[in-house]
Amino acid sequence: MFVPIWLIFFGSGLIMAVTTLVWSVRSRQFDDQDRARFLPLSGLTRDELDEIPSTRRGADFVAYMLIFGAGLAAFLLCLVIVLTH
Amino acid sequence: MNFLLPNEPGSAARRFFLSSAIWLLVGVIFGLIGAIEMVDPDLFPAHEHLTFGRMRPLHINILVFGFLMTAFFGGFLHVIPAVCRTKLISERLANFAVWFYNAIVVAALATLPFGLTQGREYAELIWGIDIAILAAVAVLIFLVFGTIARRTESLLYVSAWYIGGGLIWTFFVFAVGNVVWQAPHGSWMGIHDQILLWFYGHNVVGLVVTPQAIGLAYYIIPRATRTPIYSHSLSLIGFWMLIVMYTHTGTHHLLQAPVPQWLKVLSIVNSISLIVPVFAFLTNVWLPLKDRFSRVFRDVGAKMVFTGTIWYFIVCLQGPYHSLPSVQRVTHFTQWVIAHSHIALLGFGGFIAMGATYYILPIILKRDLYSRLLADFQYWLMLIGTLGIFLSLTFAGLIQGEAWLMGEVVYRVLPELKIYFVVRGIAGVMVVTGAVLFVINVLLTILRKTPPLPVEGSEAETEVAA
Amino acid sequence: MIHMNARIVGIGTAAILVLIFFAVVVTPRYTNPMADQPSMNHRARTAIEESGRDLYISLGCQYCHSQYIRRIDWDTGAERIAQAGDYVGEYAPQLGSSRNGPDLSQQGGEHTDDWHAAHFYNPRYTRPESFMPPFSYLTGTELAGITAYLQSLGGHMADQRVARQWQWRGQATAAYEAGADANIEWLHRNVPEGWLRVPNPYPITEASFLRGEVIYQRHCLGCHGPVGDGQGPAVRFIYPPPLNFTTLNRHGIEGGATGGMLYYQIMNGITGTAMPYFKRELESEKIWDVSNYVAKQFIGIVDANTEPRGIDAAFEPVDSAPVQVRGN
Repeated sequence: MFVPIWLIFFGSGLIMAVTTLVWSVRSRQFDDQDRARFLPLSGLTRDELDEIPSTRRGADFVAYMLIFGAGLAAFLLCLVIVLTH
Repeated sequence: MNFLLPNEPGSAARRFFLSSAIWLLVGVIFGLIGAIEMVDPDLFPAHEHLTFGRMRPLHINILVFGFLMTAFFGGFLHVIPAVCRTKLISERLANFAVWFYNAIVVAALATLPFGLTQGREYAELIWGIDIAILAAVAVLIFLVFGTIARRTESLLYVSAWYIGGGLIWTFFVFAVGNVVWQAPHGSWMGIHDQILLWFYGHNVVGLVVTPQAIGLAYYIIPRATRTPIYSHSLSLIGFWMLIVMYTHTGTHHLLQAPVPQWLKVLSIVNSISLIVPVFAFLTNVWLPLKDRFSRVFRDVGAKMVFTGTIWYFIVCLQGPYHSLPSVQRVTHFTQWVIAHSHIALLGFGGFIAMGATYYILPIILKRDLYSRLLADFQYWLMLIGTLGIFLSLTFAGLIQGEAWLMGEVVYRVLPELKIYFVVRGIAGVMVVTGAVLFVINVLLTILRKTPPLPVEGSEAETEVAA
Repeated sequence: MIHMNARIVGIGTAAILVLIFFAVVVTPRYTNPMADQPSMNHRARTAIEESGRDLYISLGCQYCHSQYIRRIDWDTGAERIAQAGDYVGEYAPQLGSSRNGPDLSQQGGEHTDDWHAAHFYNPRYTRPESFMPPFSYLTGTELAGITAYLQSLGGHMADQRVARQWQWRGQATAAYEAGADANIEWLHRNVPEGWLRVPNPYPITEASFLRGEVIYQRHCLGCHGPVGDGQGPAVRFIYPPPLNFTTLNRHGIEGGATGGMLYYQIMNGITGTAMPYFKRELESEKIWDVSNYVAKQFIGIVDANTEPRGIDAAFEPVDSAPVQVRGN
């Protein structure tokens, strides 16, 4: 009872997540939204906004990989624990 | 009419903040009474309305639905128009929501001590109040989405996603979790009800408090530090992962109860995966502060909000950790869990709520806070108090859990806990004192008649875009 | 090109929420027949038990008492691990999330009604270390209702325990009413013969005596009283009343041992009376220590380490000369 239902959820969740990710990347959800970062700062004068750092792509990549790596590692760990108990 | 439902911009937010401060004080006093009763159960006269089993739901409901929600409502009545570059759709309706929502909290205060409860943790409020809360949330949904619909800014900032989405989730989760179609029980039958209850109970934290708090933090930290968030893509990841992951996790409260095994596994896996949206949010607001961390401390409100995010970091590492079955063998049923919920709701939610009050109130009133010193003092009282509650109860919980595993009965372990409950009570006194200072500071900030400061940035407003 | 807008935030996330709600709440609701099938132990509640349940909910008992036994539990009720079918037909099952007191899912028959009456009035009367709130304000009807509810917890197994309590209660009451001699004679008759002849195998040392005193204060004092005369604060709720240990001196077994008899009664309790068993919470040496304490302090007959004793435990003093104890 437990393994089949769990696998159904696991599988369908994975398919949905991957589909959404592929769709969002292809429909350029992640592109060209840099202005969005600055919205809470609107209304402030220039001299209050000294030296705004720009996002560096290299650091970006590291940050993403860390987050995804942590999530993936935790997920796999769960999988191992579940299947060995 | 103009006193009850003024049309003045910011009036509703102001009133929500004031009521939030008062509910904080009321709620923590009930908490302190409960804490004292656990040290000396015969100190207060034996009375039904004062008994621990009545104090605890009162404490939780007043603080979650009174303190936290009103502060968040006040916060987003300011933040949503700000990020949408428009005015609130109806200030009068918002002021109506203030009165209506506060009447609901008063109703909670008037029913729970008398034992009028549905007997379900976090869903204690009786059916009539449940319906009223749904109506109030519906009003706020209208206000938020109505304002968003009139926006002049084409992009929707991440705060608005969390606040708008969070309200929709609140409505759904609250309606379903309170089983509002089953009047007056508000409950399913048998063990099914507990699966539903913890779907709700966990999401009160995950989909009601968390998105509102994150939404406010996403606005306040960048603005106070004059530093944009790290990346829009991270916002997207964090937001969508939050709704997907949090929703699954409720059953991790029932890992040792007779519920289906696959559901337990699903909840554990998703609890662990929660660190992805958590880290996405934290990376997004923390990473840009590299080299400019000191800016956080310029504003006491921003300082509190930032502290809230640190508590979020702790609570969201602890949560996945103790959702693992092997850890829960020790921690389940113990005070460890109570410690965890204190840093979730007081540390994370509460600090962001208080910080939002301190940050936004001067903006809408266009004058300084009554006392920065008082606010700083309150900050330390609250911080040490929360830490004291967290550590003492965590230790007590570990003692309980390990002793039980070794075959000790509950009764034999009680004397070992006493000192930790004393420490918790002392920490509780600090939190109550902080709440008193908070009420004083907020009240005097609102009442004080001083010439307004020059309006921030109004003279030379510059379009900032990358 | 679609980007984040109000419709996506509102409708998109709500759709995900509903989908997952169906997966994690509705699916188990309709694919888990075990939860709709009453377990073998399940029984419906009577009206008075239901009224007690309402009071239990209204007083918020669930914030300190859970109602399910896990595989890893040792405390009250640990004889039976909770099953989904135990909760059939209950609104808002009181599973609870915190244990500041024992789990109550198998509470029925663990204690007698008079023990509950004393315990509700002030929990310190029977359990001196408890921090449960006092419920002295409960009316007679309310007390009867909530006691009936507690005695119903545990289904058929609890009913059997309750029945046994009532059956022995008749005999215990008759023996008490027949006078002190008859009472003690009845009590001793219901200790297995072997135990009556076993003296306490451990000599009283100052340390063991003080340990015994602490155990007495934490577990026994509420009923048997600080001086062992059976006049603890709980006594006005309890019938037949707690034993006055000092009478054992006159009415005790002729030349017999007290240690084994006390040990057996403490370990097992006296079914039918308010005297509970302590087998779960006191390990062997603790029971021997408190037996020695009661024997020396209240009864005045000390049989510790007398014949027949078998082989002395290696750590015991070879010479069992009487030890000077504080206050004597």
